[in-house]
Amino acid sequence: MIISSMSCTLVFLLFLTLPGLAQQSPQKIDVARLGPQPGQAVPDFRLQDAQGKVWTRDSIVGPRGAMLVFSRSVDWCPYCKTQMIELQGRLGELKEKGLGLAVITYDSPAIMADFSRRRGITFPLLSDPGSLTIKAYGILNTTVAAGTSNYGIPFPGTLLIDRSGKVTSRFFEEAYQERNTVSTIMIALGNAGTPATAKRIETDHLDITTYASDEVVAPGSLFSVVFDVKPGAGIHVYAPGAKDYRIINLRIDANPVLTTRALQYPASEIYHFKPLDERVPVFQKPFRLVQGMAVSTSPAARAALKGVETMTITGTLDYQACDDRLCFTPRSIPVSYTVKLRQLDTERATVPK
Amino acid sequence: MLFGVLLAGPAASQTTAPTDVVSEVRSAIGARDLDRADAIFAKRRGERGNVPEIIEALSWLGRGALAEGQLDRADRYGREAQQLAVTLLGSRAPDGEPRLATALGAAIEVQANVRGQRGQRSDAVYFLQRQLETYKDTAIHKRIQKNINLLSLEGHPAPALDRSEFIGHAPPTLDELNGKVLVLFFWAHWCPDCKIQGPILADLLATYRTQGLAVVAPTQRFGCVAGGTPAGPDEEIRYILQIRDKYYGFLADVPVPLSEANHKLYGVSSTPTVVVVDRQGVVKLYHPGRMTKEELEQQIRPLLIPLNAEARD
Repeated sequence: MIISSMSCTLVFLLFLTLPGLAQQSPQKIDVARLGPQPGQAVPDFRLQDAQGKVWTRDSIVGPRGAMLVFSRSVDWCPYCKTQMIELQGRLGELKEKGLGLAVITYDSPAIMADFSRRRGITFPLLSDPGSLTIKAYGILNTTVAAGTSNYGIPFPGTLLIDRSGKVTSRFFEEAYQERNTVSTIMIALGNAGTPATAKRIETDHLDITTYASDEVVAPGSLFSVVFDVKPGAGIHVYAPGAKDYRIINLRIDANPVLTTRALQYPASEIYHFKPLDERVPVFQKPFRLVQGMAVSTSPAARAALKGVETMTITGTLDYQACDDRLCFTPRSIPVSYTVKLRQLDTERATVPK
Repeated sequence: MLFGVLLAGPAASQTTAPTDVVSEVRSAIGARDLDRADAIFAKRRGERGNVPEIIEALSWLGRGALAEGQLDRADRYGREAQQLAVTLLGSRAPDGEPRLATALGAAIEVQANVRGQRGQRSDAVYFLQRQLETYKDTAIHKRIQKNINLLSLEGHPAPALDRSEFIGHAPPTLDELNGKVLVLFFWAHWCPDCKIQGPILADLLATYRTQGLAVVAPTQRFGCVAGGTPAGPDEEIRYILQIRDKYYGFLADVPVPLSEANHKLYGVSSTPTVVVVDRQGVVKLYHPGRMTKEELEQQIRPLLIPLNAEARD
């Protein structure tokens, strides 16, 4: 449910500008349709890592599959390099979950070796000379003119594959700067534990556990705020589609360095309010709300975040709870989360391309 | 005042060394040192686990925090004490477990009083009513009932209504209604249960208006319209009128004061809340939650008997 609603958000107009390129007319690219779709097997490959070791699709997969990340460059793309640093930090967790990890770019093995050495990367960074694999996967960035230095990059994104190589889920975003964090992906897959930093909020009607998906984020990080909500016995709250009633909702306070996505709701159930013969969508069993948000990559936001070490996100959870005899006055619960900020890696490779 | 009431008891005045964890905790609370009481409790719980005596001590922490006005903390203690007592009791009634009965009664009392002190009188009474259903005819029945009596407005003169803003007819003052039996129907535009209560009141009003029944239906703005969409004051009034006309036809002829102050005065934090006021202006029923026609009629009819007829009887 969460995955399908997320994939719906991927159908956007994509307007790209790339460094070192002459200005081009924006092209309409639907990244959700590019590349292997869920259920399809991804093409095999034989690619070398920074140390010259050859990897194939099957050698990447762990006991429960693999995460294949397509990235633009670990030389000149700060968002890509910052994502690699995040992935390195989550390597142990991915391994525990039985997932292999590899990142594919058009960079040379020398650039990859340089970056790996500089940032302590230990997972396979795979060099795709001529972008043959990127093309085979159908995710070549076609907005880049052939013959330019950036020609050959993919639309960045992540594929989760099972042991047989079939796509189980995929995460490609409208904006090339935005990267789903590992936690965001795991939350979407229903494969994330509750962090020790989660806060518990008990109201007269709901038992709420809430947390930010990541302790550390960077410009372009697509992360989440999660609410695990357990209604009290006999209590229901209203779900989207409940016409006259107050739907449970999260309002994130305006923040110039954050962009928010639509709040993700799970499937609701229908409450038959017999005396009125009304059928209203509600939540009355434990449910999860996920609020996706991205650290803005606008020049103003990047300037504002320079040297900043932490960011506090504030908001309000609104809900109306009823039981079978009465309704409680709508409540507004203030929430806040503080996350650390990682600065973008803007250091270029020290070896020739 | 509350502090004295809650802490009055032999343990608070003990001068000898405490002999058990409840006495130890109460002694610290009596000295108004809640943090020390909490530390003693935590230490003893670590040693002994969640045994009945420990749960009783936890309920005393709840009472201590309430007395200190630390409502969130009191609520937390109360909830946990109730949860632990219920778990330990399983399907048994609390009657055979004096410590758990004390813990449970105190935990319920604390949670209700926290609501009451937050101005959520109707939530408090409703919470106690639901507990009474669960613990009817057990050792803690009377304690719960006592708290309902204390928290409800029953027996008190009805507070005067704020009539500064209204929809429909101008609301009368309570003095002007003196001599009538008044039903105050607190409702909200987002409240499904109110939509059921409305027609029941319409029926009763049609039947008993000539015998002196009057209805006033206070509501308030909540800053939103359909689906919880935020709305300005004028937009919300238009929406309230729309809901009134769709679901509460009879309210076209009933005064509807529009004021948050009325909900606060009557402690209405849940709707519908029905308040019945007798001919002398005294609250006779304070009922959070919807009522059937029969239940409400049973409350109203004795009050409608003319005073002279009552005297004759």
